[in-house]
Formats: sequence, C-alpha cells, structure tokens
Amino acid sequence: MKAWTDIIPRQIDFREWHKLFMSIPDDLIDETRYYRHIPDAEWSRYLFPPSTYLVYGNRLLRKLKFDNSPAALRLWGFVLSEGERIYRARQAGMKVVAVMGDLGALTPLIYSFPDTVAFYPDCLWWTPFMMESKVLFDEAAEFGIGEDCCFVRAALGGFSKRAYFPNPDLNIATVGATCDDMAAVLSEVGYLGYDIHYFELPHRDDNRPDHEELKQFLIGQYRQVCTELESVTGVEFDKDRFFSTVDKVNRLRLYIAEIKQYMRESERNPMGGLELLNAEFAALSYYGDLDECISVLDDLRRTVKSRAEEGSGYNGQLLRLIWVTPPADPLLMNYIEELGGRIVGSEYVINQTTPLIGGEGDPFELLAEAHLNGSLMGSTQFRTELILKQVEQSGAEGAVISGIFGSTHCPYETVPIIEALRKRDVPTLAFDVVAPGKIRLQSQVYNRMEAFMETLMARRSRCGR
Amino acid sequence: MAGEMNPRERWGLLLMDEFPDRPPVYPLVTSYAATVYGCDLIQYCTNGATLAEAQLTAQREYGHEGLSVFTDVGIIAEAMGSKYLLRDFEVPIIDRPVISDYSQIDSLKPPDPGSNGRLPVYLEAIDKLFSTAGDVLPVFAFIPCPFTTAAGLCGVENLLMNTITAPEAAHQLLDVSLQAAIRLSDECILAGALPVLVDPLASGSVISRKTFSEFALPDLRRLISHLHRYDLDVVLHICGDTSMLVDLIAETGTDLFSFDKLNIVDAVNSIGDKIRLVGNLPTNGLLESSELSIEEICQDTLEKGISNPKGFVLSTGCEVPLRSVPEKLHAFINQGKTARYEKSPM
Repeated sequence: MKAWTDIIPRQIDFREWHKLFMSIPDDLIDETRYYRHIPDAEWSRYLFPPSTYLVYGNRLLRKLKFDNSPAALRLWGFVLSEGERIYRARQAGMKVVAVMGDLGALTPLIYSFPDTVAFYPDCLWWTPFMMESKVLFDEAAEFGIGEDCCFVRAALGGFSKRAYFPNPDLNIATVGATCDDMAAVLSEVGYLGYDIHYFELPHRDDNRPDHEELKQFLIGQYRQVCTELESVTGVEFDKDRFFSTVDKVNRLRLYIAEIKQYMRESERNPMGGLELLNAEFAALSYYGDLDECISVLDDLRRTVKSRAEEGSGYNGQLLRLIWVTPPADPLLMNYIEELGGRIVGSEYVINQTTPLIGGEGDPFELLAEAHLNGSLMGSTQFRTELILKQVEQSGAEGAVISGIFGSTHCPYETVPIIEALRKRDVPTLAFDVVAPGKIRLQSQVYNRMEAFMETLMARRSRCGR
Repeated sequence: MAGEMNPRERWGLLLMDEFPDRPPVYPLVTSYAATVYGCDLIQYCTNGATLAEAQLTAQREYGHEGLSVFTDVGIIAEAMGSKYLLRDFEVPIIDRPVISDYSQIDSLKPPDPGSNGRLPVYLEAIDKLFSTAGDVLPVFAFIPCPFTTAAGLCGVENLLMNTITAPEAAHQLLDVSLQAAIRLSDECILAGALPVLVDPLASGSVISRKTFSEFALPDLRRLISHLHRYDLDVVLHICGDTSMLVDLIAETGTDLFSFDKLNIVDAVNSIGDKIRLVGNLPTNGLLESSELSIEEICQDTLEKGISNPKGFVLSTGCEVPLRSVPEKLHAFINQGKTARYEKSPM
C-alpha cells in the first residue's frame, strides 16, 4: 500500500477521516481487497473510513480516535469488515469454522485446509460496545445468562439471533482449563441445537515438570480436530499445506511482535493503543483471511517502523503504560491516551498465539508445543511473569487492568497481579469495565483514570523526568 | 422473544445478500409521523427534536422497520435561497424560486448543512434518532436529488423549459445541485443516517425518457458514485410511473430501488438480479375512501416481491399519506410481518 510521506502522525476522529478519505486514490481503494483469489468480487473492497461502518450501527465510532495513516485506515477497514467477510466466505463456497474459548492456537491447522476460514465468536463481546447496544446481552439474558457472566455472553446472543455470522460448518470450543463463563455460554449454544466439537485444554501446573504429558494430551486433541476438519471439508490433511500455512502464521506473529517492539522502544508513541489491540487480536483467527491479514499487518508494521526510526509520533503522550486484560470498551484506551498515556506493552490472555511454530517435525506436536504457552491454561504466576517481563522491557511507569465484572477467572488474577506489580514499584489501576449505557458508572471509571494519570505525572515530576 | 431479529439485523443481512427471517417492512412513514405525534407540520419541518420525537412515536405505534428523516423535496433549494411556504397541515410547497434569471446561477453556492435553511433540522433529527434507537433501527435521510433540487431553484416549469431552450443553464443548475446533495449526504452520513436519494421530479410521470437520460441520469450516477466510494448501499426512490425508465434506473448504479407505479413482476424480471427492490403498496389504499383490501394487496406484493433474487423490502410506493387510516397502516405492517423467507437461517 502506498504511503503518505508528508503525514504528521496524530489521532483523528471519524469526521476528519471522512474528509481525508477523499484524498485516497481511487485505484488504491479498488486494489485493497480481501479474498483475492476471487478476482474483482464487487463486495471484497474494504479500504473505507469509519463513517462507512458507523451508518450500519457501530455508534461508538463517533467517539473513537483513529491513527491518521493509510495503514491504520486499512487495518480498521479490515477489522470492521470481518462480519461481512465471513458471510461472503460462505457465499463463495468456503467452509466456515467457529473457534471458541481461547482457541487461537488452533487456527493454523484450520487455515491449512483449502478454502476454509475461521472466526472467533468470543470477539462478539466487542459488538455491544461498538454498537452502544444491549441487544446481544438482552438476548443472552433470555437464556438466563445475565450480568453475573462475562461480556462473552454476547456470543450466545449472536448464536441465538443468527444475524451476526453464518451457521458455521464446524463449531470447536474448549473445555477444561478454560474460561468458565465461556463454558456456560457454550452449554447454552449447544442447547440451541448447534453441534460443538469440544477440545479439552489440560491445566498446566507451572510448578510441575509434566510438560511432555500435557503435550501428548494436546496432540491427541489436535488429531481429533483434524479428523473433524477432514470430514467437514472432504479433504485430507496435507503436511505441505500445513507447513506453508505455518510459514504464513509465523510471519504474522513476527509482525505483531515487531510492532509491539517499536511501540515500546520508540521515543514517541508511534501508534494508537487501539490499533495495537487490533493487530494483536489478528493472531486469533486472522479476521477471516490469513493472506490479507499478513499484508495489512505488514503495512502497519512498516508505518510504525518508519515512525520509530524517524522519531515521529503523537504529541503529549508521555506516560508509559502496560495494559492488562483486553478492554471490552475500546473507548477506555482512547481515554487513557487523551490523559497523556501511551501503551508500551499488553497482556491480553492470548499468549498461545504468540510463539513461533516449529517448521519441521510432527505437525500436531508442533502445535501442541506452541499451545502450551497459553496464559489462561496455567497459573496466575505464569501470567504475572509475562506482565513483569514486559514492564522490564518497556520501562512502564504504570499498569492498567481492565477487569470484567462477573468474569470467573479475571477477578481472581487481578489481586496477585497488582501485588506483583506493586512489589516492582509499578503503580496499578484496576477497575471493571462498565457495560454500555451505564453512564454514571462509566464516569466513575473515568475519574479513577484521571486520578491515576495525575498521580503518575506527579511521580514523574518528583523523579525529575 | 428469543431468537427474533430486529430491524437493524434484518437490513444488515439483506445488504450482505443474505436472507433474513423475512423482508423488512418499511412503509415510508415521513410527515405522517407528525399526525401520529400530534404536532403540526410547521413544527415537524422546523424543529429537529420534534421531527425525531414524532418519528420515534410513530415507530413505537406501528412497529415499522426504519426511521425516516424527510420533510419535503425543497429542503436543499430552500437552503440555497428559494422560498417555501410552510403550512400547518400540508407539506411545504415552493413559493418563490431563487433563480428568476440565468445570470443569477453563478451566484449559487452549495449550502452549509450546519447553518443554512432547515438543513440543521435534518442533522439534529438524525443525531437524536441515531443516538436513541440507531442500534436496532436504521436511520434513513431523504436527500433530494439534483434534478428535483434544480426544479426547486428555478421552478418546475422553468427547469423543464430550460432542458429544451437553455440546456447549458439547466446543467449549470444541476451541477450546483449535485454539489449540494453531496454535501448534505456527507453530513447525514456523519450524523449516522444512510441516504435515500429522492427524485420525484425525475419521474416518468413528469419527464420523458430522453430528458431523464440527458438531465437526471448523469448526476444521479455521480451522486451514487460518490456514495459508493464510501461503500454505502444507496437507496433511490422515484415515485410515479417509472415503467419506461427501468433499464436506466439500473444504470444509475443504485443498490436498492424504491418504486411506485411500476409492475412489480416487471421490476423483478428486469432488474431484480442486480437491485434490491423496495415497494410498492399504492398509497391511496391507505385512505378512507379506498375500497382496496390492504391485506390482499399486501399479500400479492409480498408474493411477487419476495422472489426477487437480490432481496426485497415491503414498502409503500410513496410517502404514507397524512390522512391515512391507522387501522389500514397497521394491517399493512402486520400482514408484512407474517412473511418468511424459505432460505432464512432461523
């Protein structure tokens, strides 16, 4: 994708992007497409500004700030078009596989089957926030899954309404050492009549040397999934195709790692926290198109890299922060940036999608080996170490933990993580993300964020920075 | 009820070439909303908050599946200087066009939707509707197309004469009207509405096929092309008889065509593989004097429209009349909601 050489990095709103979009060349809009193996499909373009996605109901886009680079525009367009893309995949005759409950590690195997794409119903948890809507939560509540459950209950609403993704050819979900709330949601999805293939995640005891045993168990799970995929696609598993897919996935993971590296090492903040969040979550299911996703992230990586090398970035974002647990409400991240923060590290409980997968050997063993890096299947100590490592690498001055009210595992982890961070003299702000529409509760969170940032700024002054 | 789609979801699936549970039911409830809300049309046309409240009240009463921001086809022309007569119980009509002499055309500028005429009424109404109900109901902003606006700038008869005696002047008027329509469309989009392009003066009931080709079609294409650049689905509404224009309608590039006096089977057969159809209950059927059976017409329209390959929206051929009988409108909407797509995911 062509770059604008004279662009000064800053965050802009949807109004400004709408106007700026007029200067994007027509041929660039026409060239930027997903599913490129289907040439010139009238629906496959996706380089559009946030205003396009706004009129179809994503009301939060009116409030968010976006990076002003073409690469960020492309990333947002790619992310926001995922819902339609999955429908188009089905219309084009591809197989659609739903992976649920921390199964990002599984998607390299899925994409190694021809004309097969994966998507992540769990990520519907962002939809109520993007639409500023209770529709999916209310739908989940019809099944008794209410506010005492994590925001992933929106996925149940999606399955019930049948208007957010096509009926998957295969549903794969975790059981075992996984999110309890998601498990409850999945039980209800099963009750709706969807067949679910369960993938059992073993608990990883980080103090016991049972690595080999766990790996063997996971290998068995992967073999079962592979059989299911062969049955759904009618195609036999092919090692060459698998390793070719792994090459691509590794490239994508390297790009994400590189972007994170520039985010923490550059003098000024080269990119928004939301763009980084979108990039990191690409590793789960590649937003439904692995090849295009690689290209989108490569574009973003080049932009971040060139800004880091030039020393350019946003003005006024000085305080270096680690963000722990993905914020269901994206506006929170913009808000912390507006208060002078920048995201230099993150732990979004998707560590199983970060390691590079080996390029030689038994495919299932390689996948299992990578999967064992998951943050959710192990101890809190393991996850805490991941966070502390990033604090060390990035010189973070504070940490923000955006918890999930009602979620079964996150609250238990929050306290030990805070304690560990405070022992390292890293001030930490922890709060529960507020559901859409609860304006007064949300203002309380904003107040706490302001106070936290003021404290960090004062601390900075005291240290003479 | 668990598992039931809402209007936003239904429209969303339709626009992705998917089949929802049934076609959306979207009669053009525009100024009729004022009747339901109990305000006069001057209030409705001049106060965005009132317009929005009236739309929400009417939607709650009838349960139709979209909110319509529309006052009159002269709203752009008025913002450029034409005088319109606002009336308590009738829609606004042109009083004095701004252009009485060709030499004045040069001085015309596209209006600022934020400050000129009643355009801010539109934006305020959209903002309120989108903020209040935009998650479950699509908001549609009716944008007068260049041909219709040009007629409002110089008078209908003058424009029609100009197309013969002074085509350059007509094109000049159309150019500035196009810029104005683009500007208003953009602001409506930013407020959260999907534009519905309305061009009643370009109807086959008013102009010939030749005049449509030379004077309406080119700017419709440009306007739609601008919206397509943003990947927006475009609805074009032309009331009256469009039977001689169907192939040209397809040439505009519109994604949905809202039509009035056009045989629905002909529409399905001629453009139904490219364009989603929106129509077309004869609106006189909603009046007290009508002896038409709403249920029968509705069922007939549904049976013919639902087979449209590109999708179908059950609607009225034009605006729901101010003096519609409530029971008839209820009957139309309720009947429409009994339809089901065989290919529905439900």
